[in-house]
Amino acid sequence: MTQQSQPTAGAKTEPSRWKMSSGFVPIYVPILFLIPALLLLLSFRYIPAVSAIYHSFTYWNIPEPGEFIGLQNYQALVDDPVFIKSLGNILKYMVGRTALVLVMAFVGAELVYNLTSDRWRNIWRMVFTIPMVIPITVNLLVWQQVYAGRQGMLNEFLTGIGAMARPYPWLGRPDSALPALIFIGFPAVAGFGFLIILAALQNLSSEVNDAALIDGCSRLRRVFAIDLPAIRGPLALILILSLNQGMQEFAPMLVMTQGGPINTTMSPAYYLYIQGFTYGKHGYASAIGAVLMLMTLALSMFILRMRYRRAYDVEV
Amino acid sequence: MSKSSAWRRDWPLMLALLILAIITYVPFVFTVINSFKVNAQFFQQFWLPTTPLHPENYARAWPAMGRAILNSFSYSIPTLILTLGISGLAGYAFARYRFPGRNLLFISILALIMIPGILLVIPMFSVIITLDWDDTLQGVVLPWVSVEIVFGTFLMRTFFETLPREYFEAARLDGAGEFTLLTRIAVPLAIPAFSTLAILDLLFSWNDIIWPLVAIFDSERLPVSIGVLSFAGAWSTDYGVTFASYVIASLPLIIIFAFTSRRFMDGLSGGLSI
Repeated sequence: MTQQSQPTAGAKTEPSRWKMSSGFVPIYVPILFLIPALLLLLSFRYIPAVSAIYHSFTYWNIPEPGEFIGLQNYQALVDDPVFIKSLGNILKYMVGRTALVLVMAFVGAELVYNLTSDRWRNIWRMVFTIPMVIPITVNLLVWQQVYAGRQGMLNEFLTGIGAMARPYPWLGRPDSALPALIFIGFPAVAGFGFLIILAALQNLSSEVNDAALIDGCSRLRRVFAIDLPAIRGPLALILILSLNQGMQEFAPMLVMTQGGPINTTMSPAYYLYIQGFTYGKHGYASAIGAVLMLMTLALSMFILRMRYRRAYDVEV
Repeated sequence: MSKSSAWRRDWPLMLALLILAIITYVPFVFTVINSFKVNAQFFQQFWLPTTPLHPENYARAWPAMGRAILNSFSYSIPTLILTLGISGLAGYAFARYRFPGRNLLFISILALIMIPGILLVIPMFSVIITLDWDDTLQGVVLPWVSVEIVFGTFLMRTFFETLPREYFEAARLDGAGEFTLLTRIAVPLAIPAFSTLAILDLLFSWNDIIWPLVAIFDSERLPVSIGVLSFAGAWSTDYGVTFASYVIASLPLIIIFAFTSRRFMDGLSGGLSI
């Protein structure tokens, strides 16, 4: 990742920048500056990461030490219908959620970007930023009220306009619970994606747009022919963040459905939490975590590959 | 372009944005409106405000939510200070000094972004149990800081690398030591980057559910993210009070946002890419 707003900050200019000063500084200075970070990362990131992988091969009930059992946890995982189901659920959730967020963030950002008035552009940006500071739990609880079977906003609205005869418990039925989770926060414009895409669009050079306009390029065509390819970097970033977040999604399941009904909204991360902290099966939970990590890594690699294959906007 | 022709060009976009905004805000406006009703009023009139207003719903929700908000601040402020300090130091070291293993070290820190947080929750739980840190401030704060300094170090390094070398050379010629260079030159110039990091850190620590859920057993010490959940569970039959608790839980960050909105939005949108 790089900060686009500082285009000269990359590796190219850096050596000449600091070379002169390097000879004068004793080596303990940078080490001293790095010690707090390294100590924390070592104790709460690196060692736990190794520990998690190791303990995925053990029977482990904290605070007892783990007992090595080889691949048994992984074998059990393959045979665990709930876990298999959770993988399918999270795949649907991840793809659906990412598609919704990405498309709506792009639509929202393009709408704001194409406004003529600077003042209104700032106002709309503000309007879609404020919902981001509402605590996630509150957002989920409010949306639980949106979907509620009794006194639910969606039901009141749909029965009110006559689109539906009777209220429907959106979160309580196997066929609608997962889609309901995907559509939380609809229209899902207000989010980091919107701000990042809008910032990227506003950084594009206006000369290209003016030239396209003079050549008779319509606004809609410009959106797809110029804007979209030009911001593929930020789009790839949002794609990775959103897919990774989707893969590890936990809060909506915990707050709104507890994985139900009949495990149709069970996610691997929530299942990990249940296995680890409800049943105390910390080894088994670690194995779920390890699978989740492998999937996350594979996905990130894949997207980075796609993004840099034949990329013409970056020097490789 | 004249005002009216700009309007003619913009109105379809404005209309679309207005519709999106209305759908976005309806659930929250609904929550605020109904936080002033008792159940009977709520069952009678679903969408619109009714009189008399019942602000006592807020008085009912306040004791539990106020405590949760205080708890959240007591966790979030130390997290914020440590994250800024430690990320600043590390980012500065990477940006300004060359030492053996520098790139390898940086990449291995960055690689941590790829590790799912949830995987580390179990071994971290084991660590704080071993240290007897459950229900303690450091048991919540230090793991949070360890999450945040990964991105923080990256962000601060990127920023410090944009500072011109001449500033530091000049000060050094005047006899400034390494620490003075950091505190007197680098840090004051890095205020925008620190603000960005502060905002992201605050949103993270205010919203995190899983770690407090694991590390805190005492319900009196729960932060807002979980406090509002357990309050809503306990009061679920009283809609007005429940909605009031949602509003109270949302207020602190909204107030902070109101005072820092410019910084806030700039910080969130700083043009990130890969």
